[in-house]
Amino acid sequence: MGLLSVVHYRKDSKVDGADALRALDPGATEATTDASSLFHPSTKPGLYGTFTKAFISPEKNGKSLNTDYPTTGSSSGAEIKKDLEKEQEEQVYSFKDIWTKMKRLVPFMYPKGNTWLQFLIILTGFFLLLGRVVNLLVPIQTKRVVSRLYTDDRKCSNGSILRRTGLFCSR
Amino acid sequence: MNYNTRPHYNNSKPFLKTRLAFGVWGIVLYVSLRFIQHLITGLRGWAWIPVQQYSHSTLTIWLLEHVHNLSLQFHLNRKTGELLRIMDRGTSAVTSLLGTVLFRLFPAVADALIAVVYFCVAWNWRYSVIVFTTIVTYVVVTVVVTEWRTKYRRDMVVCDNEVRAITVDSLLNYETIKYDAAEEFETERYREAIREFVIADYRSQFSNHLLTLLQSFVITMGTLAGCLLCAYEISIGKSEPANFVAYTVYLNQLYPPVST
Repeated sequence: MGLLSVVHYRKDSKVDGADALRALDPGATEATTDASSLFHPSTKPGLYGTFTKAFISPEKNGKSLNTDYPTTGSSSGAEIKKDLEKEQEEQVYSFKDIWTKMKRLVPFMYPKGNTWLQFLIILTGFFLLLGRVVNLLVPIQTKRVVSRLYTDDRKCSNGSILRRTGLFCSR
Repeated sequence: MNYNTRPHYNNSKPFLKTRLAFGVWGIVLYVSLRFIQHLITGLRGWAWIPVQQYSHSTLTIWLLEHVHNLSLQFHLNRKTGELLRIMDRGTSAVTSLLGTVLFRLFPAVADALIAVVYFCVAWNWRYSVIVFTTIVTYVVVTVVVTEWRTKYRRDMVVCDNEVRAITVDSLLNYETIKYDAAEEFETERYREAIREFVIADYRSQFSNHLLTLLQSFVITMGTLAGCLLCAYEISIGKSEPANFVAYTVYLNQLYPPVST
């Protein structure tokens, strides 16, 4: 029941003056280093890579304090490079754990208790199967039509489609 | 309709024997089947609309709820632009993944297996071997190359997120930037992010084209082998020209249109 709940760090951090100030104006980073201890920096930073910044230790913000311009909490080119290096270090496979991924996701997408949508899913599956059958019949019929263009073989013309598969009519 | 007797045909072209049939209904059936192919695709898409909408909206709502329940630390340090991008990308990726598996992967695999069995039963085992080898090579090439190019794709995503983050955050904090006269700094930061993005995006797109090229190369080789075999069998009288046409038609719909 939790794709993202792994990163669901729900903290009961006390909102004090510094927090309120930062909430009002994210650009005001002066309180960062002092307030950082209140934020309980998570023990498991950047589990998902993309959320890394939220859990990163506040040293970085402290550094950005000393630059001439406030960076409004956003990243610089150096940070992008660091992100990229981090991404490259992580071994990511596209197909290896595809079933685990799907198993995690499907419960959120399957319309539980909605009979109409479940019926539509079954209908889609039916159309999928029907499509396979028709995909098989098209080349068979192509062969028949082309074959009739240059032969006078009529002995199969009244047969059912299965008799026209080329299995029974090939010369 | 007396299309069975055409004397001039019989006289002028002796190799066409008597009573050459003009199979109207066969052609009607053929064309109808081809239409039914598209009809089924359309109906399938129509039936899938509400299901897709359901899963998409469920995921989106749930994701927003989740983000709202995240810690204060997260919200103080979040980059709004990046977060928006991640949310969009995440939900659309999940739904498109399901669509790809259901409507491209599954039909392709099923079609390939059906083709292997059909060729084995109705033609001969050589065609089955060719089709099977082609499909297996196709899948192996796709998996290996995709694994290799995943890192480029992910780099591109990271850079794209950064670009979004800079755009939205600098606009949200417009007053702070103005106050510090930091417009130039912000533009420069943005330019740098774009530069990174362009490089990563280039690698991502290039590797994608490479994958497409390799896939079509595999398919071409399979088609070539099959066509040569078919032509050879026709030349020694074991097969007929109609089989060649049918084979090419079958291959065209068997191998999924190589994704762009």
